[in-house]
Amino acid sequence: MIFQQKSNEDIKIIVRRHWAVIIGLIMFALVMLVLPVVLYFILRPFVQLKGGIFSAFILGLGIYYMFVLTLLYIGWLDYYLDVAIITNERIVDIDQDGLFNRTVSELHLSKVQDVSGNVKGITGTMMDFGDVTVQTAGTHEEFVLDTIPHPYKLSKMIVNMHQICIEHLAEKARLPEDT
Amino acid sequence: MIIAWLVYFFALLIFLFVGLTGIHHAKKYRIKGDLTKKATIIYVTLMALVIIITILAVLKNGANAPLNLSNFRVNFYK
Repeated sequence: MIFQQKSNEDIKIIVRRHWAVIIGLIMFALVMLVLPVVLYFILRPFVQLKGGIFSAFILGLGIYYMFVLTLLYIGWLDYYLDVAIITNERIVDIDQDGLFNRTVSELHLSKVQDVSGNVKGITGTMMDFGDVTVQTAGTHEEFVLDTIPHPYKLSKMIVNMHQICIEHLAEKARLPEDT
Repeated sequence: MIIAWLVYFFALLIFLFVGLTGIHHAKKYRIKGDLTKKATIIYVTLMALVIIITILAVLKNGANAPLNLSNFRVNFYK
């Protein structure tokens, strides 16, 4: 597993990109899955396949279905493994790009300086998805969680958690003086 | 027909490689309690079904039947 949870760490929310991102791929794969069946019933009266030609056709159809299933699985993995994990201590953004490219960025909540939610376009407004940009005090200046659902809600949540984290750290720093 | 079988098994090897890479990624990068395990089971089951059905259908039709183009007829003027 790529995300190692620390002992005192509590996962608050796991955010994936909005389902609208993958709906195109699912529709495409569904059409590709149904297409040979539809074509078979349309062309059956006109085309005659027998013997070896029919066997070769079945083998071709097998290759076609393996291709569609693999395309769907890899596309789904690309979508599903792209995830942001927000804990009470940090934000971990895992970006899966294709099958072999992967970027993991981590940001401590205490380093958050500014959070903004951004909704673009008609589909984004109607389905309530967009980007959340987190400005940081570290070298990794901008942290973008893209096409996620409810960006305004999430940006508010990050600000609140940043506040709690800061208070917690301040309390921790004060404790040795008091005792 | 041997060429058709060779092409099929070559494609099978490629999809096996890509699929196994995907499964390896799913195992390596999954988060506790997510859907990757279920998706992988569905994918492997469907792939196995496609392979079994394809091979059985070809065996039933004749695995060594000669590839004669005369067996392929198209007539749109019926």
